[in-house]
Amino acid sequence: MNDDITTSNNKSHSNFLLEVIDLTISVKQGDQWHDLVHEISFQLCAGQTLGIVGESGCGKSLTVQAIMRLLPQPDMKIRSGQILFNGKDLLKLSQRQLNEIRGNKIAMIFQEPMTALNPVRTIGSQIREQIQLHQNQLTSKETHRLCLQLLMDVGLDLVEKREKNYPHQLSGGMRQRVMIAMALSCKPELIIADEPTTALDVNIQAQILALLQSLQKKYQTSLLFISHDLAVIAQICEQALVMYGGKIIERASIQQLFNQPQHPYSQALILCSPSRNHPCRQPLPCIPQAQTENEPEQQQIERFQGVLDEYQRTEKDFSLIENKAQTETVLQLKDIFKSFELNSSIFNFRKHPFYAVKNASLKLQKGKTLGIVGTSGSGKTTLAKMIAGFLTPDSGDILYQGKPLDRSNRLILAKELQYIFQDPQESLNSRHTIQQLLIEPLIIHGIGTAADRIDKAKEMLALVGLPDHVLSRYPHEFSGGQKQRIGIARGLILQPKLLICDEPVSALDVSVQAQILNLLVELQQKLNLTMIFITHDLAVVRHIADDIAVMHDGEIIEYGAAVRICDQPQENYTQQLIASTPTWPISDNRLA
Amino acid sequence: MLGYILRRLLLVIPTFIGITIVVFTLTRMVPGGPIERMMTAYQMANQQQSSHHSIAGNTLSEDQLQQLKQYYGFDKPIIESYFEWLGKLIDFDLGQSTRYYEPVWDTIKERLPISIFYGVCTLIITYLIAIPLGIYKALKHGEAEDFATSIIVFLGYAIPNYIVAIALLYTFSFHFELFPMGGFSSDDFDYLPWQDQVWDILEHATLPLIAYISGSFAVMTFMVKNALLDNLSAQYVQTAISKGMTFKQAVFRHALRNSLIPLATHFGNNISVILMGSFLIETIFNIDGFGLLGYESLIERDYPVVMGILVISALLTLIGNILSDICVALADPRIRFGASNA
Repeated sequence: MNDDITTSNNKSHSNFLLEVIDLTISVKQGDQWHDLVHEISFQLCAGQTLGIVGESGCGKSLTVQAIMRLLPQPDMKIRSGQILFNGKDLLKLSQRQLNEIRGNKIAMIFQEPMTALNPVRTIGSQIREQIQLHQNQLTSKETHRLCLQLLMDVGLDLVEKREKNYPHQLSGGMRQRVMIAMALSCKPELIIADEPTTALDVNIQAQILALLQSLQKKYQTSLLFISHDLAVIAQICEQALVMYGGKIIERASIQQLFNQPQHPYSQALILCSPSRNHPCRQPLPCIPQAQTENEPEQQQIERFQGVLDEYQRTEKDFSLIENKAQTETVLQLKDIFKSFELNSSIFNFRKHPFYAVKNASLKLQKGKTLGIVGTSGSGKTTLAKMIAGFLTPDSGDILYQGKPLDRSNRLILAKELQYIFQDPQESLNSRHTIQQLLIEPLIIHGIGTAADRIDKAKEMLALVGLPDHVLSRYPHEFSGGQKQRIGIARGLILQPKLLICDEPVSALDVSVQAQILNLLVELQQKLNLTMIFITHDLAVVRHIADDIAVMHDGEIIEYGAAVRICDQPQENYTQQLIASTPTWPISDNRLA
Repeated sequence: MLGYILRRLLLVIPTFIGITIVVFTLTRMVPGGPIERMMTAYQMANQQQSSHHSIAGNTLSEDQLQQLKQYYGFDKPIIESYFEWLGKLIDFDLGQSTRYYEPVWDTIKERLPISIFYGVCTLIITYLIAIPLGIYKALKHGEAEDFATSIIVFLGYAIPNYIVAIALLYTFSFHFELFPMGGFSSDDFDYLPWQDQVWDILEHATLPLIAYISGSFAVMTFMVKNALLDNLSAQYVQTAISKGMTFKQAVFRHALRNSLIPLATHFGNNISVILMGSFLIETIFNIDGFGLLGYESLIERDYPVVMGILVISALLTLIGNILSDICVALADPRIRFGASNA
């Protein structure tokens, strides 16, 4: 044991800021400990930016929580390994020594700035608190000045006023700027950012990434950046680690990772995100789930390689496969307005209408897919809910097959159009079995006998690629992708003609997203479905949609063919939106 | 915020008028009244006296009855007498007690200091026990200390406070003779020097206070514990720890204030509930408070007093609700009632 420490001290001659050696993290399940992260090792030099990329459950967040020693006790523990920071093993520090490093030498930025900041204290007090914890030689005046300086550094205006604000009074982007200011407040040597932009809109994400990059240079800190999004990692990091199943499977520079990925998993991961290099609506490669928990490495590699081989074999037709030319108009929106009232109370007779949708007109042809793109608050969900009949427009017409649809009659409406929700977890009643969930629409509509209904449910499950025997199970037994498949099966069981998908893939991992996108395209062709696809992700919408409507502040500002809008946007806002989407450092003739 | 409070205060007026209508009609609709009670008492007295004599004069004459009705204001139509009562109410004139033959307000005023004393003491001590105990239990969640204190809390929750009162009275006053048997103070209270007066009140108050608190601290302790447990797993506590705070600092500087928000919601309601006391405890300890007064007045059909107590307790509830709102707004910056920057 003593030898270990001396060797680790000897190693500190090397100029690694952070060195993780054979780190194994275990979780307690019942009486047994299961390894979630297996003997990973990596190094980070001072001033370097390193990304960790991987899908949910790959152990990337656990790794950084272990570095900060934030693993939830007593259910998780670090079973073995060392985490050397400036040559000192963080795992051997006393609580006091650890507190001197946390926030001072290593700072952390979390995913969701709303919950990461204390809601009942002003942002100024939360920043000042960190300064006071580590730099008690400063007077309160100096602390205050430093706090204002930091807020200015992260690009907030009116800092004197802002620092008295509470977190809820700021926008998501501003809150994340505050988190960054807090992280920088003691000029740490290492900043760990755990998915810091995942909860933000794409244009805000671009701002935050640019800010992090410039401040990282200005303050000369190292950055360890966790994300599930390859493009974001490519944007901000010099090097990246790819994690899968609790192991680091590849470490490479960004250029190398994107152009010559070594490990078949990295290759598959890159290929399965929709991109310009992939023909629209053609199947994306799917990474199958591991069959056993402890899959041998060789078997893993073979599995990924199989995916790649399969993908290479399929012909790629870049001439956009036009959906069958049909000119029958299914849905038409004419000058739709929708407003909500703010602040109405019994004493307040003044009404403040807020227009969520302004003057929206659209046309949707049979068998085609319309993508609605926009940042949060742009009115895209409100528009979709009006089409689905959940909301009534203030004015304007919604014509379905040329006739206004009786929106008050849900029974008729439900047979024509169905809605698929973003979060498959919350849209499936957790106390119902899959069978109950699937046959409920049939019961409501009085379709078929009990046996017919079960047959129908089985048919739908087959359609979305799930086996019969899942009928008796409950939603919580399924993964996110499987739950979304169940959601789609439920949406399709009444054989609607129009399917409205509200961000159906944004809660899912990239590889699962690829599966669901493939499934939707396949179903559309098989069933001649018309689809409305709402998303904030331009790459996804370019892949799946025929037409795109770009929404901004309740208005449709650009409307036209998907590829045209994504590749030659006309409007200023669309151009900005596309420019802020992280791009891949890829030469055009890669794997394809 | 100020505008909101003002509007809430204005809303008190129509609500209060509604309450007076309900209170007034209730007491008028219920069968039996002070006259009936007096007649029964008179008859009973007569029967005892004249059991050997002929039955004569055992009812009141029509004239006497009319006089009585006039005296109590029952001769007028209900609407007219309601407005008369309401008019007096605005002048803080609650009428005459039909039992004590003195103004209702004086009857209530006499008991007010006693009720306030018990109410405020119960409130403060409950918070003083529940908040630290709740914090302690949350920090020791799942450990032996948590289970041990849970037994006490569950006992407090499960046993009605009047049972606790009787048990205390029997054990400590009757059996061990450590405390007086009841009352608010001793008979010779007025002749004691002030130190002894304080001691005397404390001696009398100890057991009733324990009984009161046993009923109220359990729920509050669990409220604090659960709120704190929720907040301990909140992300901002992790942020605080990753800033370099100890766990304790993170709890007291960050999690605690968030956990007290649910308590603030209940603060105002406590005022009316506690001030009105519990007539059972007051009966057991023979404390001349609000609860006992209300109970006895109801039994004796002393309607002016009943109405007076109902009106005052309704007013307290209304004010308590506004107080709760103010407390919540003070504790939680996310809540700014009626603010237009939403």
